[in-house]
Amino acid sequence: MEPKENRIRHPYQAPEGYFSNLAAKVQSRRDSMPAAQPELKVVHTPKQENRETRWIAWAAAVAVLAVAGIYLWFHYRPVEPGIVKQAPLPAKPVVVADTLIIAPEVAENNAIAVAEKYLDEQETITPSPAALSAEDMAIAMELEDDGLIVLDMEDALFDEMDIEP
Amino acid sequence: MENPATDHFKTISDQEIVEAFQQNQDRDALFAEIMRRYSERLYFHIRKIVVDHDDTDDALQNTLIRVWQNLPGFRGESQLFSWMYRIATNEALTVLRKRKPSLDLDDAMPELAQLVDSGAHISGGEIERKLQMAMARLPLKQKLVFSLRYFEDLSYEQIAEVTDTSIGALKASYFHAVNKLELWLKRSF
Repeated sequence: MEPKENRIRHPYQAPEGYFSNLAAKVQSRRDSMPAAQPELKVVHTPKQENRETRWIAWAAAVAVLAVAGIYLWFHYRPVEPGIVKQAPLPAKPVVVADTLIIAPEVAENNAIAVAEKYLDEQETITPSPAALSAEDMAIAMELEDDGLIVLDMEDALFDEMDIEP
Repeated sequence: MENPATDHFKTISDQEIVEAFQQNQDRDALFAEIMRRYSERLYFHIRKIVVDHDDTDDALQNTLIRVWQNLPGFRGESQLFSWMYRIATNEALTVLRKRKPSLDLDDAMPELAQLVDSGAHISGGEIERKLQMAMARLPLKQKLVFSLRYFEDLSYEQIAEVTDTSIGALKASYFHAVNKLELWLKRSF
């Protein structure tokens, strides 16, 4: 089908005068077209509100990630099985103080107790100091040093305070 | 009446016309020269695709308007005539898609064969008509390649510029088109 001399031609024809009128028709259409708009060159103009929005979004994202991380750490952190560490126990009992401090009201109570004990047992108000035990005697002497009682070793154990012998 | 300036445009090359047009030198006269050179060729190129004269007229006018609009931005990466053929081909396909919206280049439009048989402004002998009727049965791509190669006598390189297809694919399309047309024409006689 290649030889040019024997080539088959197409059967189409244009109407008479078609090409003469074509220029006028195209010109008419060109004239009816709207005037060309000036070409707009788009220049990148970042918007201020977009920047602010982006900044807030980033801050919010970081905050959410931090909170989520803390939450997950405390709820799902790995626990070593078997060994639970405890605070070591002290090897020796802790000595808080090596002297006994007796508050005044306690000393008074002790003195009353000594007096009552003495009265109950001896039924006399002039006991001999020798009848006091060593411990009671120590308490009585301490009370006398504090000025709470007067210890009369000869006549009576208590002659002051409100204690009725 | 002869116009010396217009006569001068008849002697210059396509490239010089484009450059002068882009420099705003008497655009109307330059465009008239382009139309004088290519209107008829473009008309028959479109006509072989869409067959009907009125559709061809629409597609050709659209083609020339697009050339006028886009010539200032034409970068000369292809030849002027192959660029115009490309626009004309697209406009012709646009017209066909008005008839068949889902039209693809691999589709054929055998209904165009009836227009060849009964349409206006068609002459020629029986063999010319039968060839056009057979071409209507080809897939659009093969029909387009055959038409540009056989009737317009374009090289494969030029057809590649028009259709944006590789030369290898064009040769294959042309080979298949010729084989089918020979077969159908032999059967019809």
